[in-house]
Amino acid sequence: MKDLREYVEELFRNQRLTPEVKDLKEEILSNMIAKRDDLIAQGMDEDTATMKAKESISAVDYLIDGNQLTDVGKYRLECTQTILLNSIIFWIFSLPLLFTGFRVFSYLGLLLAVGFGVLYLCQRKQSLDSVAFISVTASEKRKKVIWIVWSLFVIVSLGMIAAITFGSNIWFGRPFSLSEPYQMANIASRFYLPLLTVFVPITFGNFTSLLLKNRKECGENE
Amino acid sequence: MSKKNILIICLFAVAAILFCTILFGIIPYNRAQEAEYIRKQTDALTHDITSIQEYKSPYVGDAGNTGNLFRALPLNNVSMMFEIDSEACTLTVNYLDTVQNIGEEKVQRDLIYNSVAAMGVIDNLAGITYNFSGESYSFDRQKIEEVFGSPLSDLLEPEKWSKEVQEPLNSDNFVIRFFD
Repeated sequence: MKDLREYVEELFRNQRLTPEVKDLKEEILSNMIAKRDDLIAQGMDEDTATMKAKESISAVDYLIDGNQLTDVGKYRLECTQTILLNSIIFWIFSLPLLFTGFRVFSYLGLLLAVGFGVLYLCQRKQSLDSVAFISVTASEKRKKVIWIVWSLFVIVSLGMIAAITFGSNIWFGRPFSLSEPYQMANIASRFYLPLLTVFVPITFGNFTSLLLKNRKECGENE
Repeated sequence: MSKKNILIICLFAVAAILFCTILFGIIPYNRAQEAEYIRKQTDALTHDITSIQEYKSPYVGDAGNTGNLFRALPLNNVSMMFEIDSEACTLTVNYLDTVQNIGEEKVQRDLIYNSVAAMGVIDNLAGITYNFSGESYSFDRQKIEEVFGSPLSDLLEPEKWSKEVQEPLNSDNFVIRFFD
């Protein structure tokens, strides 16, 4: 009994223990115990019966809702490709910042594009033959959380920038004047910067789509 | 090659071209234009009068405004200090250089220009004295208005300013009459 419980614990070691998963775990354990007892009743010795019961279930990933068999090599390569594509788009959108005091973000865009370009080329040379179960549910949850965090970040950042830029004018009731185009560009770029980070949640959203795209059927694997 | 890779290569090429155009073309050009504009602002014949419109004030006593005005007028590349007499409504500008170093002809032309501009912008400015090491020049509103007409603020339109102030300053005979 203890032997089988340890085996089931090991099977579920990498799973998040939601109430559903806990129920599944208990069900698998009781099924294995029942199978072992049945084999013993048929005249098999206890060790062999335990062994046979263990052999009946070697993995549980495919039994858990939201997990999918994924072509991991291809999935990772496509993730890097997506990061590369989004880095280049970020770089293009950061180019107007070259005219302002925030030009460092445009250099960062270049650095990201080159860095992920090199990484992508290296990954392409590696073998892509590996499959594993990856949780789609977790990926979707991560995507949601990142969008929420990003939205909060943007609201707080824009609020703070507006307070710093216009606060004293509002407080003292002075009209706000922009006399030079450079001054206007610098103020606009302060508001533009937090919005540029939208590429982070977009990229994570793309990961979820790629995960679904790289689903591998069990038959394909064998 | 997949469509996505072709897209990546195209976007990278577009980004690289734009980046290089901005960094090595547009920005150096803008800087050169800016430097040229700053250089032009140091001379009466090339100065852009619209740059001092924001310093319009009824009183000479606003020291910050008066200082900023002279830093936007010709001779702004020479270090200077100010003394304001609010009761007499006069201003003294002490340039920390010699007339010989700057060039007598340029100094005389620029001082007339600065006086007309300052009196046009500051309504109650009655007179200005310019001090250099070893030299001093004074201008009063009455003399300036005799030559350029009254009110001086009417001259501040760019076209009128160019025709009635900058063009005459090209003539040495016109300049010399202020220094007899």
